Amino acid sequence: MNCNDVKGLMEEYIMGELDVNTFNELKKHIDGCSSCKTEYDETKKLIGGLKKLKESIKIKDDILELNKKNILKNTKEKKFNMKRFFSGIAAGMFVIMFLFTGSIVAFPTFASNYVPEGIPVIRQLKEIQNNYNEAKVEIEEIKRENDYIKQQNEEMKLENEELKRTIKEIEGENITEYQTSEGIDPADNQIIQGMVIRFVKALYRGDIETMKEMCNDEFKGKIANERTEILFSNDGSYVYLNDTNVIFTQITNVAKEGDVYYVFVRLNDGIYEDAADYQLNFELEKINGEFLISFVGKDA
Amino acid sequence: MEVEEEIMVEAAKKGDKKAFEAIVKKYHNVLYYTALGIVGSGWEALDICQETFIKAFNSINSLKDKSKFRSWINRILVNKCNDYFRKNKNEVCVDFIEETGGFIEEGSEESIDLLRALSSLKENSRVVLTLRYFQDLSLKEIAAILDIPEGTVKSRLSNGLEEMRKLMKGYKNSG
Repeated sequence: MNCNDVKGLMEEYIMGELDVNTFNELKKHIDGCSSCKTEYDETKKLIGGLKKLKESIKIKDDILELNKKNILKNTKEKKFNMKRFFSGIAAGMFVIMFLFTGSIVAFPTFASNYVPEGIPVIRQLKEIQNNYNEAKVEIEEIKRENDYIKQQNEEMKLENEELKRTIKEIEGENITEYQTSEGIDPADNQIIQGMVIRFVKALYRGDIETMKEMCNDEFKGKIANERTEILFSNDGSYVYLNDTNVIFTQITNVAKEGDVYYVFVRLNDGIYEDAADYQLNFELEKINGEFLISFVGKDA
Repeated sequence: MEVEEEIMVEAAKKGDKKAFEAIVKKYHNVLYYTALGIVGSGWEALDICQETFIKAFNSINSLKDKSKFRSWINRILVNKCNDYFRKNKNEVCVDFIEETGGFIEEGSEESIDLLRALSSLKENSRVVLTLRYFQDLSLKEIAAILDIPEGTVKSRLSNGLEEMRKLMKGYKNSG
């Protein structure tokens, strides 16, 4: 008996299905042939493993039982689809759990008590759960955003109402009056705002005389000597720009402290794009019932 | 045991529900594991197992020799597996481990390797090996089930085992 003969009978030898004579012949060869011995050892181990394999594959008894029951029930009928059945149960339970708790957080744990982990249904459920939770978080975020937008809209609406009330015409300009401190006489308020606007118009006309007329002696001197920043633009060039259009954006604030009045006005002259929008802060004194500008400063 | 089975089969042929039940009880799990070994999917195996019993009970009157019930039902099972392969021609059987992952007892690394190797074999070899080692069937019985000569069963077994030894060595070496 040569190695090839032995190979051909090896399986039956291991399974103990050979007659005594053949068995003995094979045994004799294998004992004396190292390569056949190796093959024998390996094959024997493999067959042993395969024979034990089905014992290590486990499926929950209740699934097997259910399958058996379904077979008996459906012997004369259409076959029962286990996979679809479990998916159906899963979907049903999902809906019920959802209705009861509004959440499926507990569900996959619940389900895995009844069907083995790792099977498609559980994987699907876990996916559904994850998707659901993600969607929930997204919906909450969107809701929060919506609430915020709604709130902003309300605020803007109020602001618009407010603005509508305080847009007024001063010196031929429609100006939004943003905030006026209480305690300022409305007539005084009208006067000082009117002065500020006339002053700015004069500034842009290059009409120094008109500007000077509105100032107290100290500030008059500063204008005359060109020692005030309002006469210069951002790059240091002289501001007297005849026929330059200036837009009165809004009166930001009108305030009062003793006999000193403050008017903050936002302007846009479109000269320098990056600094087109700026603010002039006016300080006015009320002396003997008459208002005079005591200081004008530039602000971004 | 054999006589008992023949009585069961005879009763089932007469439509005895209890006999059906007894047959299902006796063969269900072994057929399930065989189908699992052949197709490599736990769920498909359950379906194939069902289909096999339903087909068997609906055509039990065509079984002439009661003593051949085991071979006969196994032949139905193998045919059902072949139907499954025909329907799923484009699906390579790679979901074996994944699908059965939850079915394998924890800690049996070697079992997983064996399942993996088994599922890598050609269908022909896989069927023969599964019938032989999951059901302890004789070469003659396997030959009868598959309707092939005994020599072919032997060569398929021997080729399958050879291939599996190589695969197992490969798994071992790759850690």
